Amino acid sequence: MKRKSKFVLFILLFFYLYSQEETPIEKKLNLSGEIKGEYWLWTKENKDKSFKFSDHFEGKFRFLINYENIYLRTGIFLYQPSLPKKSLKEYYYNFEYCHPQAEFLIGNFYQVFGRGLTFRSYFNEDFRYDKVLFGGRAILHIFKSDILLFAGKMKNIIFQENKYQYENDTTDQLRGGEIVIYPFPHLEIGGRYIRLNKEKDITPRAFAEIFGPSISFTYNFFDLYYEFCEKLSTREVLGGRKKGYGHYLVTSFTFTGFGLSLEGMKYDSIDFGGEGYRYNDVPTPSREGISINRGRDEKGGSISLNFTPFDFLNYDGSYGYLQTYKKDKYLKELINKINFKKNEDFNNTFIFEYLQKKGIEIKVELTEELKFINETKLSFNNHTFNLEIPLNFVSDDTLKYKDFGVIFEYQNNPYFTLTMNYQKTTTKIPKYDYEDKWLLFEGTFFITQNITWRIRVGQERGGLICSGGVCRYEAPFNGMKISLQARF
Amino acid sequence: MKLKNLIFILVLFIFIPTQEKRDTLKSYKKAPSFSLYNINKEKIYLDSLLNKGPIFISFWALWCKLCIQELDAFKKIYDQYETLGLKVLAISEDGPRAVNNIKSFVKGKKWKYEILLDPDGKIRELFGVGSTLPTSFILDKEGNIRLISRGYKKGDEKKFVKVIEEIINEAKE
Repeated sequence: MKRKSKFVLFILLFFYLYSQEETPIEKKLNLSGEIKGEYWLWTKENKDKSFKFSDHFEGKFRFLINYENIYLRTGIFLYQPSLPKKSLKEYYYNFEYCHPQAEFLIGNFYQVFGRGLTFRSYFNEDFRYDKVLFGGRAILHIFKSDILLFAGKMKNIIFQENKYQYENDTTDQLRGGEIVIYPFPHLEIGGRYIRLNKEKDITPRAFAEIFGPSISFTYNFFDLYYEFCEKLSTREVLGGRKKGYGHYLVTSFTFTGFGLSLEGMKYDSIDFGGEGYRYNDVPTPSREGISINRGRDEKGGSISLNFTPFDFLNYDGSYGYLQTYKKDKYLKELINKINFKKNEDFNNTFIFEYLQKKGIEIKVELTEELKFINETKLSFNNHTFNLEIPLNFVSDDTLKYKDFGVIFEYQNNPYFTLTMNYQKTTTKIPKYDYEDKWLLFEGTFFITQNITWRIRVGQERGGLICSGGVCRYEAPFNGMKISLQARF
Repeated sequence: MKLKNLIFILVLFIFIPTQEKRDTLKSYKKAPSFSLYNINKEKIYLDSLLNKGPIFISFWALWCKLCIQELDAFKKIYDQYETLGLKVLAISEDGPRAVNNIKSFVKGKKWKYEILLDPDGKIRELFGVGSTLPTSFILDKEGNIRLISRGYKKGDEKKFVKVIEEIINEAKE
């Protein structure tokens, strides 16, 4: 039998048998995965007023085989495969063995230490941001403690200016460990250490380390978490060791119908990575995920309250504040959401937000926004209507304008959802390339429970978007986006 | 015979189904076994919750509006069927830094569900959830997956109730 035909026969037989009846082995076998394809086509106006068409293709496949304690993962991500200069092809694979007392992994993985002050490797699909490690990891769960060791190299992939690119030096070597001890039922004590060596650099600055302890206490209605970290690296030009410190504290008080959370942070030179990229991601008090200097020079805090005085009324609010030490850059963010629910068929949410940003956006020094949003949801039988009306009073330096719109959504359960989004500003805005209106239509069709098809046609304004303290610029868009996603 | 061919034939035999007679209509896929910490840092094992009644598992996150709508809407169902053995596992897909916010949000919302933390998304991956939140599963007493619901649309509660009642009635028979 030829090798190729043997392989094809094996795959066919495997899937045929898997879809038929369960064998004893198959009962413990778990297969899952996801396939997604996305195509965009858009136009851009040139300086001579002519139009240029651009397109974008990305495809993703992820597959997991799990048998008892063994996990095998594989996947591929393709971006513009037909364009050699722009294309990006990433393979993901790993082998993991998970026993209650020990775990071992070889291949690609993600890892977060504590709350991210020292190290954070993660994937955010909606934000198109990937910080994936390739290497090895071992975890021991013994004597009321978890001990973790890892070594690897990271690829930090970001989508910016309509293309995927590597943000970091992908040859950087990372090694580290974490220990978390549980001496009493309500107490957790942790410690972590990471070192970074640069492969392409043989000077002393090629070496940096970050480390620190944490303590967590949980009892009934009260929670407390505190983490400290110290970074040691080399001073630019002057030489010698440069020290950095970071403190992060969060506490919460919770009772039925009432939740209060307080957060405080102070970071000084704990940017761990290289110019423009980080291997740690410090927590930010902003709900919108906005940061200023990403751990280099920041202090701030937040207060969040969630309160349900009556079953038909819920309040969800927060105030966050972040600034540099000299206060030349800062952020103030107040969010209040009041949700009124008459019954399952009628729901109204009123949102009031105040945002002040100084020195955060590139094109504007000081932005002040006072935003009112009303969201109404009405349902009957299989039909749901959502109406959202935002009204935003904006002040960008000396420019004052109103930014308003209407978002209407119709859901026909379980077949499709249609959305129309219209946004307008009262004047043409420089940061939006002197555009003043945007109209977007979107349809989401649920072909089966596992297959979703989405089409989006119209204009998107773009701008600064942030998530978890990482920000990027989204380019304005005028065209069409189609995506097809299947899960199994 | 070459060793490779022998291995190939052996592997094929492993996957040949057993000959026991089964009722294919009632053959459901078994949910993967897992354990996770809840917001009070207690370890919860899925296996220890089986054989007591239907289990509703919802993968959600603080930033996901539809997830919150689904879990809000499920409150009524939970109140109605809790005494009949219904358990709800709301598995949060927020990262580790959201732990305190999850607790205050959940308490503020008066959710009585078991809130579990899946900060590295391992259980989400095991259940084949992918990137769609919310995704919900209903398991019967044996841990078989009786319903998968991706996303949330008004009226989904009806299909949840139908399956929950089916499972409860089967237990009575």
